[in-house]
Amino acid sequence: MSTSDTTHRRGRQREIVFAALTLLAAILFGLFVIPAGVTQPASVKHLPLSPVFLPYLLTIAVGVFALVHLAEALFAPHIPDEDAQAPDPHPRWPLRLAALTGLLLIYLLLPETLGMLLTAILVTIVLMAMGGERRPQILLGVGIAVPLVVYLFFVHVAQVPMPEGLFEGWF
Amino acid sequence: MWENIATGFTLFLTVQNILAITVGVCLGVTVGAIPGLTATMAVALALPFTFALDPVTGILLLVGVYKGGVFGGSITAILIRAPGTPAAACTLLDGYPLAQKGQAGKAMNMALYASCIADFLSNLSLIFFASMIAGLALAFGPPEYFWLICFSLTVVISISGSSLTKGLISGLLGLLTSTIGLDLVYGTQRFTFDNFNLMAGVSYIPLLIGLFALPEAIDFYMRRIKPHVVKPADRSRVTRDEFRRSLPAILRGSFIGVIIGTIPGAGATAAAFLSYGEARRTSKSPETFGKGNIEGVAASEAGNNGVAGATLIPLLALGIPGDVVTAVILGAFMLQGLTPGPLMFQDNITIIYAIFIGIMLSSLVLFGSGKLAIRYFAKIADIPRHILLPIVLLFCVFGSYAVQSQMFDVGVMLAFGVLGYLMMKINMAAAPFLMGFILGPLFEDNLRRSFLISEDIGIFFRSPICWIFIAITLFSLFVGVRREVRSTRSKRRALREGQA
Repeated sequence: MSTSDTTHRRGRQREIVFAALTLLAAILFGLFVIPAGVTQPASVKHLPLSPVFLPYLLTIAVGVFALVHLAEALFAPHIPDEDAQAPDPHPRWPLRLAALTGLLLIYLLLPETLGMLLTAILVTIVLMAMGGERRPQILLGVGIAVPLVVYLFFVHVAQVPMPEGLFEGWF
Repeated sequence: MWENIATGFTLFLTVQNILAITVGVCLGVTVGAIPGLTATMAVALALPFTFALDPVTGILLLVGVYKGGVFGGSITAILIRAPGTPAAACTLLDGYPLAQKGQAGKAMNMALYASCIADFLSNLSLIFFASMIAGLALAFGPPEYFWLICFSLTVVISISGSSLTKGLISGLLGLLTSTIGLDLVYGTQRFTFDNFNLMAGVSYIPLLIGLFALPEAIDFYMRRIKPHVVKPADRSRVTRDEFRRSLPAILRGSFIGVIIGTIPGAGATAAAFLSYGEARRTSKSPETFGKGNIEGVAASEAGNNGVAGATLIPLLALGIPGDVVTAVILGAFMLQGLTPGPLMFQDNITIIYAIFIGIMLSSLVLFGSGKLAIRYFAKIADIPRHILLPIVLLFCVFGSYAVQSQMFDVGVMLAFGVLGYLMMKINMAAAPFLMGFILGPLFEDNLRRSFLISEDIGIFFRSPICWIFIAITLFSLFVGVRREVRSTRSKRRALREGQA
């Protein structure tokens, strides 16, 4: 089997999986999430006025287009996606994914405690190091100066009250 | 009339006024270029400075900030795929691929030319057709708005990327996301699950930043490190041929921007996408859109800047603000003891003319400051990606937080960043999602308001405006689908020939 055939087969499989999962998600959303997530008033005069009307309509439409996509993926000849990027994952991508997830969680959870500035400095330096920067003057210079300038801009020019954390009263 | 214009000109021609426009445009370009800080925020920030200024000077400062902000958003959209303002989200579709090819300078220059031309035409329409167009906009009721939005939604076909069905699913998911929050008619909760942060719906700016800027950063760390994915920005200019080719898209985009701008609530983002869709529809090479077509940049920038002047039409002619920015400008008028509307044309016509003259000058100032900004901002593209992307992430977090000063919005940005990354990996276009999300509330609101007025479905066919929009919606759908079918057929033919 040629490389081209393998690529086509994989491409087709990917589209089938996508369409099947979308269809399944639409069914689950319609059956469970909409009834649980939308409060239906007792007296709705007209169906389009109901809060559930549009969510159901859109969910059905998603399901229908997922079916169309599934049919396309199953029966039509697969056209290689022009926009498809060649997979070129980093050799240690699972580790990097875990590190990136951790850093994004730090950005989300720590500003209230550490302050937005310190959190930003920490994450910026680690991300630059993850990207391959090894020069300490760049890591510390850029990693401290840029968050500081951006922080001061937001706090003093844009008048946004950022979480101060450990630096309360400093800036 | 000429006497009034002469008096207006005298009133305008002061150092303070020219300085106010210059400072305003420069401030707007800078703030607009920062992801998370919108033109609305920039105008709101500048508002307190107008208290101590003359009415004309104060209004011109705000108008300058607004116009600069609308253009400024395109700079970072092109350079780092992080639209500074929502209206620039469409510019990145072709602007960023051009930057990746090392043609950031060309993309930004085209964005500037399109912005200035559209701005100028929009200003002219403001001056000559203010009262007429505002009158037309007044004829729009909920059914007419509903059909206008249906027509705008057809643009999803043009921005669907390589798969129409995936693009449509993306647009529908955007519409579905827009239903989160309190129901507009009954006030009941929809998908909030008792989380008070979601009562007002998902915030727009964090969603935008997450969907477009964050996936680039995530993708960078998941792939083999390439220090310079974006080639150094050249100082390339737009060639005469490229400008000539893009001129119809610019003029069409300006026209669309002017029409959309006069309709309160429609907005610059919708105008940009609509203009882009039209440019792609009428182009001889629609398949190149989304891959670095300079006409795409021209069309989207013409669309969003065409709105800038026109949105002042209902404000000045009728006293109705067309969007949030003009609502802030209306506040500035009130603070100065002026009430925009028909009476202002009677009582303060010289002030109106002075403002008009200043607004015309703002296009020139925008050109000058834009050229200067391009020269300096272009250097951003020369920064190595491993240094630039952590800074982009920094702006994403700060910008998202700044919207309502709450960490919840940072969480929203991160969530949509992950969604955007997954969409990128399965080659599902994010632009239709954004379009659906923007137009969703208007779509539902006008649908339900129409039913509240009359339970008869005939209300949707009540006026010639409805019929015009129905016709162009059907036409747009037909042309879009036919083009997609033809494109698929030609790809299949090429595939068969390649295999044979």
